[in-house]
Amino acid sequence: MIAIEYFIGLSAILFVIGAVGVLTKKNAIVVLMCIEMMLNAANINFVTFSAFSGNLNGMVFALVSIAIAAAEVAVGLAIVLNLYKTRDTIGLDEINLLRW
Amino acid sequence: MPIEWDLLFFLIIAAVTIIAAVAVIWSKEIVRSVVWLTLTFLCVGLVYIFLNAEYLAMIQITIYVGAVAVLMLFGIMLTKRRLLGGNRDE
Repeated sequence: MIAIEYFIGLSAILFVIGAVGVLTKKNAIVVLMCIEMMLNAANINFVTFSAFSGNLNGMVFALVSIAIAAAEVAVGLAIVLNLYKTRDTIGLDEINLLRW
Repeated sequence: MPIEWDLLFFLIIAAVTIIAAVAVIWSKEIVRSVVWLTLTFLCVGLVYIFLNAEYLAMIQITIYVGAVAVLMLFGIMLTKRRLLGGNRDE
């Protein structure tokens, strides 16, 4: 079997790329995509530790995490579409209604 | 020294994953970004197969590639975005 460091390294790189995208991009949908990438990195970690420890709990939790991620992206896109309907933009620099 | 084929395939898939993930935040056009994101999800599903989690790989491909990518495409098509080439507003 492949050593555990490769999977953990892939997960870390994917998480860092997603975090950079969340912090730097201006479009709300691209930010949602990068959040999905970070969730995928967390899922890789779950499945890796589950497979290398012989305990299936991590895989089951990854399944729950996938379902929650799907629901989260649906809610996020609903928010983005409503924002576009009311404010006519989805640029995160122009949406400052909640900033005091 | 024999070649470790599974490690070689894993490294290829990991490289494709990272390149696609970088291309998601690198590409200017959002629709292309969604296509790169789909490739990332697909390769993460292939990584699950290396970890003996075939059912999870199937679920990953069904939900992410099938549902989340299409949902993202809906969100992009229903919102107006500033394109760099040309000013196609609608």
